[in-house]
Formats: sequence, C-alpha cells, structure tokens
Amino acid sequence: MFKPVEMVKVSIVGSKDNFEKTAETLHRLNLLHIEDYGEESEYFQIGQPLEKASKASRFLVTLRSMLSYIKVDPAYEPKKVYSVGEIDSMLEEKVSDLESKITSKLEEIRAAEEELRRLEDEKKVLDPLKAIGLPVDLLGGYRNLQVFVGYFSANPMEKIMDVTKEFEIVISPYDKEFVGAIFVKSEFAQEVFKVIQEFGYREIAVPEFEGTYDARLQEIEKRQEDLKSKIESLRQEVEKLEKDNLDLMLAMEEYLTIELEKSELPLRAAVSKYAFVLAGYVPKEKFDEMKREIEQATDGKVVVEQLTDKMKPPTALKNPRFAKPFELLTFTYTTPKYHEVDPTTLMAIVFPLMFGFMLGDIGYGVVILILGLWLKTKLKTPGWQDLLTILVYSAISTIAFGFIYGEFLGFELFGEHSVLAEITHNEFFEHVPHINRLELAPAILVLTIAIGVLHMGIGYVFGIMNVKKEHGWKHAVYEKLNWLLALISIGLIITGFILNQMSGKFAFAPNFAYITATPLVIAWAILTIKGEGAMFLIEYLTLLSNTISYARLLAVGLASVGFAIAFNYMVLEMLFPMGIVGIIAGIIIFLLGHFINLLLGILDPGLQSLRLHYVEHFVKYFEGGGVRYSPFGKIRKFTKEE
Amino acid sequence: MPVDGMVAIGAGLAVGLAGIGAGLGEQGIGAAAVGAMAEDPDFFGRGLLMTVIPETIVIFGLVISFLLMFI
Repeated sequence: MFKPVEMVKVSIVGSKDNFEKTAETLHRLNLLHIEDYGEESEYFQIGQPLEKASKASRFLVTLRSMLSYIKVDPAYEPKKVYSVGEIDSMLEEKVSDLESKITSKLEEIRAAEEELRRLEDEKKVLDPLKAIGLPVDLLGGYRNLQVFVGYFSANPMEKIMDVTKEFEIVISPYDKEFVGAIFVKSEFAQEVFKVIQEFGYREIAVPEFEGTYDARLQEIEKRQEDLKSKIESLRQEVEKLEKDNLDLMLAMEEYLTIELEKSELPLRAAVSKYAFVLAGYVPKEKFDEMKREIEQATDGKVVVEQLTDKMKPPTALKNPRFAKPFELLTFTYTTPKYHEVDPTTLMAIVFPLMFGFMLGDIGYGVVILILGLWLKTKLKTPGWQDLLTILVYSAISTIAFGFIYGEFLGFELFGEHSVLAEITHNEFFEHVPHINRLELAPAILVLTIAIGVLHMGIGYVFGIMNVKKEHGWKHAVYEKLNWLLALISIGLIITGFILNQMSGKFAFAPNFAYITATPLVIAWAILTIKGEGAMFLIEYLTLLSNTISYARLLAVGLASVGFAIAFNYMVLEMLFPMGIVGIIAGIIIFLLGHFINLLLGILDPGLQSLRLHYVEHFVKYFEGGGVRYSPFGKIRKFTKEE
Repeated sequence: MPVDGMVAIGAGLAVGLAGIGAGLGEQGIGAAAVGAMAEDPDFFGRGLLMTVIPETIVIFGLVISFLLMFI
C-alpha cells in the first residue's frame, strides 16, 4: 500500500558455459528485471544469441503466420496442456506436418483470390467495351494496324484527320465521357497517340475471349461464384485443421517464444571471452530464493550478489487485493517512480465514493451492478476485468448513496413526497432520515468544497513525502508545504465567506476564519517567493479554481436527478392521464429516458471522478515516469514444465 | 426561497455561456490530444488531463448561478 515493492539490485556473474543453465533458471523464476547492458568496452561486449535462436525464430515465424489466420480469443483456455518434453520431441515433425497441410491450402486460397481479382477487373471493362459495339476479336490481333481502345473526354476524329486520313474510328458516349476504338496504320500510331492523349485518352486492356460480351459476363459471374465457394470451403478446412490442432499450435508457439527469449538473453548481458555478467533488479524478499536456485542449478559456478548502488529501480505496485484493479487507472496516467507514493489504494477508496456521491440512485446503482457483473462473465481480458470491477465498486457505492439521498430512478423514496409512503400508506417512510439533494444543494456545495480541500490536502501531504525523499526537507517545505498552507487558507477564506453570508453580514467582514487564514497566506507568500519566485504567487488562483472544481461533485448529480425527474414528470403527469396511447408512449419514453440517463450516469460520474483524481489530486504529488517492473520470464499457459 | 425571473435568467446565462466558453476552449485541445493519442496511446492520461482543464470554467458559472439563486 502506498509504497511499491522493495527492490534490490543484483549482479549475476559466471563462466560462459553456464549461461544456458542460468537463462533456463532465470526464465523459470520470472523474477529478474534485467537492465540491458549498453556500453561496450575493451573486455566486455554485448553477447551473441545462442545457437538455437535462429531455428526457434524460423519455426516461430511459420507458426505465427499460420496462427494469424484464425482469431484466438485472448482469454482462451486450452483443453490440453502439453509438457515441455512432449513439445520438444515432436516440434520439428509437427511444424512441418502442419505447414505442409495448411500452407498448401493457404496458397490455393491466395491463387483463387488472385483470379477473383482478375475477373473483377475484366468485368469492369466489359460494359464500356460493349458500348463501343464491336465484337471483341476485332479489337486486336492485327499485323499492320494499331488499335487504341479506351476512354476519351471528347471525340478526337478531326484532330486525327490533321495527321492522317487513313484511319477508322468507332466512338460512342459513355458515362459523361466517350469510349471508343481507333484503328490506324502502324506507321502513324505514334503521332496519333500524341493527339489522343490531348483528349484524355485512358487505355482499356482488352481481354481475350471468344463469343459475345454478354456470354462472357455470364461466364465470369459463374466462375466467380465457383471461386468464392471454393475459397469458403478451403477456409473452413484450414480453420477446422487449426481448431483441431489449436492447443498444440498455441503450446508450440509458447514453447518457441520462451526458447527464443532464453536464447536471446546474451543480447542483454555483458559478455567477455570466458565470462558473462547480468545486472538487474529483484524484489528484496525474493532475492534469497533466486540466489539459491541459480547457484544450485550451476553447482555454485554462477555467483549472485546484491549490489549497493541503486540507480533507477523498476516499479512493481503493491496494493491490497481490492485495490488492484485501480492500478489500471494509475498506469493510464503514468507509471509511478520507484520512490514515489503509489496513489492506487487511496484512489480505490475515493473513486467509488465520488462516483456514488454524484450518481447516488438505488435504481441506477442496481442496474449498473447487474450490468457490471454480467459483463464480467463475458469480457475476460484483464483490462476489461479491471474496468468492470471498478464499475461494480462504483455501483455498490451508488446504491449506498441512493439510500442516503432516498432516490430511486429519480423518485423520492423517503420524506414529505415519499413515493413509498404513498403506495404503502405507511407514514414511516416519510420519517426515514435522508438528504434531499435538490433542497439541500447549497449545503452540499459547501460539503463538496470541503471534500476538495481534504482530497487535495492529502495530495500535498503525499507531495511533501515525495519531495522529502528525493530532495530533502528544505525542498519539501518550499515546494509543497507552502501550497498546503495556501490550500488551508483557501478553505478558511471560503468558510469565512459562507459564515458571513449565513449571518447576513458584509461578505468580507472580519471573522475568526479570515483572521486564521491571514498568517497562513503570509507564510505561504514568503515561502513561495523564496522557494519558487514571485511569479508563482499567481498559482494561488489556480489552486482556488481547483478547489471550486470539486463543485462538480454536486453539479453532475443534480443534472442526473434533474433528467430523471423530468422524464418521470413527463410520463406520470403528462402522458399517463391521456389514456391507453399515452400509457404506451409513456412507457417507451420512461424506458428510453432512463436508459439515456443511465448511460450518461455511467460515463459522466466516471469521467468526472477520474478527472478530479488526474487533474486536481495527482498533480499535487504524482510525477511518474517510472519504469514498470517486467521480469525476464513468462507465465506458462499452454505448456508446463515436468 | 423566492427567485426573481431576472435572477433565474442570469443564473441560466452564467451556466450556459460558461459552457459555450469551455466548449470552445476544449475543442482545440481535444483535437490535439486525440492526435497525440493516435501517435502514442500512452498519452491518454495526460491527453485527458489537458482536455478537461477548461472545464472548470463551467463550474465557475455553476457556482455563480448558485450564489445568485440561493443567497
């Protein structure tokens, strides 16, 4: 919580003949975040991939090109998990077997598709050729004549007359242009060609066939049908073949990927003539396990040591289970630096609260909850799962706030106009304690500002911790503490303003809140001028606008209630009294209206709550730009080790 | 609390005009942010942050309208 997993820097040193074993072990452990070796020196160079790399990558290309043909659901669970030994023994045979079966079919498909394209092109020219009115065998195949067949923007006959009289032209209008054939003696061909170019001549490639155009058209269409069904059946065959072998193919793909990763490990290490050095980071609590495993695998010939210099450790967030899905939102903003406070857990608490505070309706909450739970069974990718978990939390919070506000799809459940009391004739519901948002809006407005001051205040406290850790107390005071003071003073000034309004005094008449704020403002000003410069005094206004920005917590909620009430009024008061037609129209409008409001109710509170975190809260302390911990290794899904 | 007609119109104008202003402000930023996101999807977080900055103006309008209507 709040702090990422503690890392230690390690070096792994050994003789080169133990490299392969080390790579095996490291990959299996899936712990070491490798720092790539960059600079080459007299003794140490970047290593060369192991020999098996080229073979593995060749097979991998073949497999992946076959796999790219079918879409595999990322959440696909294999029916059979192959062991590494099994894959290793039959890899070569199976790949070439599948390749020969599938590749030949794929090639047939490609050839058929090629022919389809050619026929489509031919089909396109048949219609204009038909418009010329000459049989196709007259349009070519002469010894002493050149034929120009194509489109013309105008009739070029007279201009050609200037060149030669010995020609024949057949031309007719076609689709705003002309289409025609010009027969001319070969010796004038070049000059005529120049002339017709001025008339926007575009050549038509005359296809070779016998018979009439209509007959050819029919023939092409029939052939196209044949080809399409052939491609379809071939595709089905390929798909069936691949589906039958899917588990095996995915297992081989995984196996090869892992083999390739292992054999390319030298590219990330420093290698001398006889030795290798790997450097990287490991979670502190896993260091002993890694050291033991590697030294065991290599009979102590490879040495694992902890290094003291900490350059830039990668960040692996560590949060309680309920907060894990919110890491998605943190990473969307940026990856926290290793030394920074991790905002995820706080966000996991505040985000759903803000969502519920805005939407706050039992009816909408229940619908979103059901929707979220249903989608969770459908969309299995990790990103969606995280997002939907966040939605489910938000829905629960929405229901809770719905009880506080006493709202159900915009109807008042409790209080003077209680719908429940009206239906059940039970006065009890009129006395259930609740907060009517519309009546108490001014008070809630003040509450939102207070939430804002608190939320940003926590941000500044985190900020002080971050800056202190990186640059020391002095910077923390000059950069963050001064703004915390400013924030408190803003809170006090707003309080003073409200107190004066409530007691009917002049807005800026001195009261205890203003008086308490004064020394804070002075302290802030001095610290800011000393630390950041006088220019930054203007930022006080930014902070003020940040504070007021939390009023959206109320605004979004009121908009959603307003919508719901408006739809309910339209349906119950205006349409239902109109009789049967009114009731039908009313039901449609009721469903449609609340559906739209629900969509807005998911989007808007979600985005606004996110915005309050990203824009108002995070900027107070969260710089980010860290490196995400990505250990060397892979979690096996389609294969298993013996 | 009685609200005069003119005060209600004023409150409406405060929110409405502020909304138009915020919209105008956001259009350019939003377009640029989407462009940046197309280049690099990692920009989403910061893009969203930049895009919604002018939105606070609407909240100002809203607060003013509240002050007009309730106080």
